[in-house]
Amino acid sequence: MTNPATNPVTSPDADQQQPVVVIDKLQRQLQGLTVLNDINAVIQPGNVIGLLGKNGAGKTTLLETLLGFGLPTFGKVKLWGECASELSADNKQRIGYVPQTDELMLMMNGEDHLKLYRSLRPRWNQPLVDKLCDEWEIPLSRMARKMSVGERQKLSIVLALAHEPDLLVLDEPVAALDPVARRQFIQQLVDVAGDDNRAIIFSSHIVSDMERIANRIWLLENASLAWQQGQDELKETVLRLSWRNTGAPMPALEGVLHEEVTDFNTVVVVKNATNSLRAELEAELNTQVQVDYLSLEDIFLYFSANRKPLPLSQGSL
Amino acid sequence: MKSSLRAWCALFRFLYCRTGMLFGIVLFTLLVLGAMAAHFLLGASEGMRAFYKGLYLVCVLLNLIMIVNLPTQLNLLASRKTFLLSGNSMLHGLLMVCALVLILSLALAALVYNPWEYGHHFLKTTMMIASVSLLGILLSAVTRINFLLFLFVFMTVVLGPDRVITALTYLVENFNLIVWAFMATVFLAWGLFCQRFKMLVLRKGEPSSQWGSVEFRVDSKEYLAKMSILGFIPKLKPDGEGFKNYRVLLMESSYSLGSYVLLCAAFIIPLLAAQYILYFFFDAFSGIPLYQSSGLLLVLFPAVILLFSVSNIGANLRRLWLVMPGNRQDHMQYLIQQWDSLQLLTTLVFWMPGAILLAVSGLPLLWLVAFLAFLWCGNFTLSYFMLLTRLSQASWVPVFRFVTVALCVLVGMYLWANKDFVLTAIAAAFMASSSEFIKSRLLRTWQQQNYSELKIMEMGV
Repeated sequence: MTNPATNPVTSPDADQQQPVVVIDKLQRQLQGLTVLNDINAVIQPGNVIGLLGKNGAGKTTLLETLLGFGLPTFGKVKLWGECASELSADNKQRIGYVPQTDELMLMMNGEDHLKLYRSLRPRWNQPLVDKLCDEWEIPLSRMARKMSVGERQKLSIVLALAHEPDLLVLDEPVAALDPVARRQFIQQLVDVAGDDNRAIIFSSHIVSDMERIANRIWLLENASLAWQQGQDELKETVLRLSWRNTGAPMPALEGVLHEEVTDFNTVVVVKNATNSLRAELEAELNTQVQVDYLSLEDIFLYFSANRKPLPLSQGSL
Repeated sequence: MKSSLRAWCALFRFLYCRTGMLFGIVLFTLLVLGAMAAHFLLGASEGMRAFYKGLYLVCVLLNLIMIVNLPTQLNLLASRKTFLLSGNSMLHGLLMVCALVLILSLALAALVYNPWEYGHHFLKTTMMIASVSLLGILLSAVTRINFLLFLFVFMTVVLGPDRVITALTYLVENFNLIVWAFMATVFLAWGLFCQRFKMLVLRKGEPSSQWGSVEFRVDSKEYLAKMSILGFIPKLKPDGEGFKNYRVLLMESSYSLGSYVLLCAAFIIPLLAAQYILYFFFDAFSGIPLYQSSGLLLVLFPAVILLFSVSNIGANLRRLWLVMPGNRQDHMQYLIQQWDSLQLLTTLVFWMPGAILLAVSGLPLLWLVAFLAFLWCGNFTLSYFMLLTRLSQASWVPVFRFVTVALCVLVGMYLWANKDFVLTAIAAAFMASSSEFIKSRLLRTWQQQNYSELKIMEMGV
């Protein structure tokens, strides 16, 4: 079986479109620690990538390396064919970025922020700005330092969306948002993602949001991308298998993420499962094998080595 | 009559508009120098003094018109990307105001006392006038009424110049001037703090609400062209994206003006306290002329403030990366350019009067030039060094920085105590070469800088 992590799948029209981001053998070391190691990936226009990883897994480092904030220790990162640390003015204008901690100017109010950024952007969607500011009830006349964390985050998002970037990079954008604003933001992101010429990459710990909008998932684990596939492929190939013990020896399975054997049952979670796996197992074990699909959150937990038994709440084959 | 009126209007307009600002500074610097030279060369010639009194009075009135409209002037300067914004905007505003007030005060004080004969009273009068003017500007900024202008005109017309001078003299004798100066500076800071947001006219080419006419925009261009030739404005790459806005991004720090005032207080109060203690409790220091101590304050105090602002500006470079054209080197060059222009402005407005005070206090002229060169180069060296250490996260850096600053201070004190020209010149040359060396190190370090470590600075140094 091939390893999808080392063979990023490209969209069908990849030949026609230039990749937005190409990461080639990226390695980054910070203060002697290897934070990112041998990462190869491609972001195509139309990709909406959810970046998952535990705290300290290197998500922010990866996103900031994509944008040229940090230089690779080894390897290359290219945006539209240009080195990330040497981006041209035109390509910088194609990027929207919401950092983990907002970088607003505390002594300026919301209106001044909008004026300032509008003057720096050749392209500016004022109706979109008005709509978002209105819907999200951003207090534009208030200085940033007097805004709540959530309000500042909303303003940061508006500033990142206003110039309709071709690449939108969001580092935990919804962490400080209330449920209503989060829902509105997700809806907005769905609208943005509807444009096939744009690419979005965002990290979040709210996996349910990611599940709704991401069409591809990057799982960052042990400084490497443990998975970079379409979300559907991920859900179809990471399966929980369970069967009643018959005394037959445990079959040799590849890509086992979790294994739990009791006196009566065996539960195994595997990645890279094939369509014929169930039939092969049933033939080998001579018993019925139940196959459960997992939610993205469950998959993330298994990948993150948080291997606690999970309730069998998903639909079975 | 009509043409005369038109000429007066043109003159008023010239002084009132932004183009008069820098001209005013230069004019008054020359006048102060001229006044001192006149006193020095011509002694107490009554006729010459009367002539200068008349000249001063006219010029002071005209300059006062500019000063009382300072909020508007600042607004204009900010919106027209002149040198005001080529550094930290708040600090720039403060420097500009203090400079204008200081020059005005020096000019006025020279009316009252001959600096060569009554130096102590001359300085006291200068501080007195400066503090009152600063307070007036504050009230002018807050109330938006140019009451100081009317007050001055009223007093001059009704009471006459002699009585105004007598009144000022009376105030000098009966007020604690230093306390007044501090109070006024704090109030002024608050006034500017309230005004500063109006300085951000951000849209490129968008007419200012107050001076949006075509003539003024043309005038502004001509002015910028002239000033660029003179070197007052750093030459910017014509990128078409409006560099002023990058400057806003760069300079907009988390500091409030109150922080600067606190910094001022933190540095100047101990200095003044030390000066007071040395003068009154230690006989050995009683011989130090007041000119020298005041001149040193004028030179050292803004230099220290600038050192703190440089690392603050540096931290904000992270904001520029994704919006400003150019690579890392371009951005660092841009930062250095901004800081250099700020240094130039500080030199113009603080170091020049400070140098004059030091020169007239009887210090060896050649040594003084070398010493000021040492301070000038030292300021650049330390600023680059502070920026360099700001970028590095290593734990030894703060210790190394402290040691370096302490060494510079000790060397400066040694040079001041010995007044050896050769030694001072060598130290100045060493500082100049250090400055270039650290600058090159800074550029190399910046090329490999991890921006993730450059967090936007919160309050504090």
